[in-house]
Amino acid sequence: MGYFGNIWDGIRTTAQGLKLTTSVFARAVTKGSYTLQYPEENLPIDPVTHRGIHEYDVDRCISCEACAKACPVDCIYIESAPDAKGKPTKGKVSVMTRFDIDYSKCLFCGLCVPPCPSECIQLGARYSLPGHTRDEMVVHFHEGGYPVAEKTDHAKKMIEEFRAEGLYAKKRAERAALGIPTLRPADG
Amino acid sequence: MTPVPPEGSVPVAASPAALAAASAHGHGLGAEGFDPESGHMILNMGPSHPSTHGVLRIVLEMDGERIVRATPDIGYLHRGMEKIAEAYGYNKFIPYTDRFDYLAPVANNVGVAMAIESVVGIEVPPRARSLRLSCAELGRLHSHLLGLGCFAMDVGALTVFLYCFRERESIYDFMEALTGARFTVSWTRVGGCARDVPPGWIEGVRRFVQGLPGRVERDVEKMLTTNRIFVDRLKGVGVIPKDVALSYGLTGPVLRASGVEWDLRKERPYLGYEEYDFDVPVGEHGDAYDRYLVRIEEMKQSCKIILQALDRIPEGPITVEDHKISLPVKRSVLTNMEQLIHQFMVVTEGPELAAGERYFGIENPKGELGFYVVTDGTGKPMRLRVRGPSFVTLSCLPHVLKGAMFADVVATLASLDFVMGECDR
Repeated sequence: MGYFGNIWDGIRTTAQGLKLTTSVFARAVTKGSYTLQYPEENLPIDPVTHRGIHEYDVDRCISCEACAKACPVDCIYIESAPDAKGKPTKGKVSVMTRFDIDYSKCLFCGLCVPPCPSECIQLGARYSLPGHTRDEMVVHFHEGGYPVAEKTDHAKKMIEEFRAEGLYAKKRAERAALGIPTLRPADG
Repeated sequence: MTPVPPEGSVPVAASPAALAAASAHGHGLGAEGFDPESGHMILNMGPSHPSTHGVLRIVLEMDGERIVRATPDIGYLHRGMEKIAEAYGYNKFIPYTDRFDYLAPVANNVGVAMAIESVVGIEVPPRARSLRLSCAELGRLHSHLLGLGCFAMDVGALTVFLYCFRERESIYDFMEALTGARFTVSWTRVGGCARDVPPGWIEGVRRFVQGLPGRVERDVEKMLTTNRIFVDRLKGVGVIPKDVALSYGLTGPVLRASGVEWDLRKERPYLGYEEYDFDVPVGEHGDAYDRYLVRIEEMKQSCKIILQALDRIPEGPITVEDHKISLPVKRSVLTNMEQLIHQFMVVTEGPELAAGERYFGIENPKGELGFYVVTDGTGKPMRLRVRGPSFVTLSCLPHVLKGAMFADVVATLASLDFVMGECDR
């Protein structure tokens, strides 16, 4: 191969190598790039099946602690206000004073969801919970401010019943009497 | 070529002085890193080394570039998994099994669920069986794709790694659609599966699996199989002869690359593997290159199995009807007192399994993943022992690395394709 043959070989192989790069570049320019600017843009996720941060309804919760017992890492902490005899209230009348989930422990395995008899806890579509301390990883669900669990038919039916009977307002008032704020009410 | 040890010989270990020198001086470099007795250099590899696939530390005693002794130091990822199983019970243990071989979480899920079921002889419905089989094979593709990608990357071919990850991304998407999580799927339950497949899932997997062998040929094999650098780097490296592989109890692709045709899917069929048509690839020389070839061929066979399985997924339930073991359907719990009690008992006490004990092993991507389960009639196992393939694979490391060049350590480690999450448990 002569001097010019070498030069031609260099040009030819460079062009060959750049063919893939140029084609991808051209696609990115004309049709948009493959990448996402993450904090501003997000990949679409399925809101029904995704196993993200929980959705919960503090008013429908009967504090049966089934979810806490099903949890493989014991990251759910439940307390309800005592009744006249000093025992924690259970069932439809219970007033939640604490429903914390420690997301520094949570595995998002979904074992807490099927046991719930009032279907008030579900895994939701949110997955971002940034914070600087471990305390910020604990979400106080009893204060509200998080999406309400309403994925199933039974949950929707219960919400309607609760609205009709005015139980949302009643429980909110009972919690307020115990000094627990409601950041965003469950009945909208 | 590593010599075969004589009958009854004990695996080599670093001398006490060498180990003391290595552990006393952290990184093991500098003047203190020399074994005063022999003048050999003590070199710590890991625990944070990109090629150790996790947190494996190897204390290498070296004479120049040659390795005199190699002592793996494991346990950095120990989480006490077996004790967790005894403390938390059957269903609660399943999310933990995602963290064994975290490159094929769904295969571990299937393994532990089947082991627990085998103690009392629970037969899952045919639909759950076929789905479990398809997902276990997807797990194999999942693991081998990463195994090949990291293998190529460790010996210097980064592009293959990216191509393999593109394929893995599709498997993540299928897992996300099926279970709601991309990686830690926690998909099986004692007596069935957590969720049924969404619409269109089977067609999606079929399209992906049909195209995969072609893409592997184009993107992986074309770049590596006849690549002179790759072949020269791997042929005759990390040789495990047949008898050594058998004496160490190796399983999976590492054993098959050494020329032993042993695959639990053929030898002790479970999940109905005997009904499927597939071959077990076997290597000849037991070197790193053969292990690469075996994994490539296994992926093609997995694709073949998945295609057959997807064609015969029957309709029907995905959990057993006995609700003392599996959770009842939610609608019946809300209307039926008996089912509510069953649900309460399964959640708080755990599935009701009669007393018994059984060892059950499945062919995981890395080898035989076995569970020895002792039940005592309560909701928690009395003992759950895990036999992880990576731990056994790593046990032959002192033998394989003895006499090798230092640069071959990385190639050998990558070709053994172990994962520390399962080794340390």
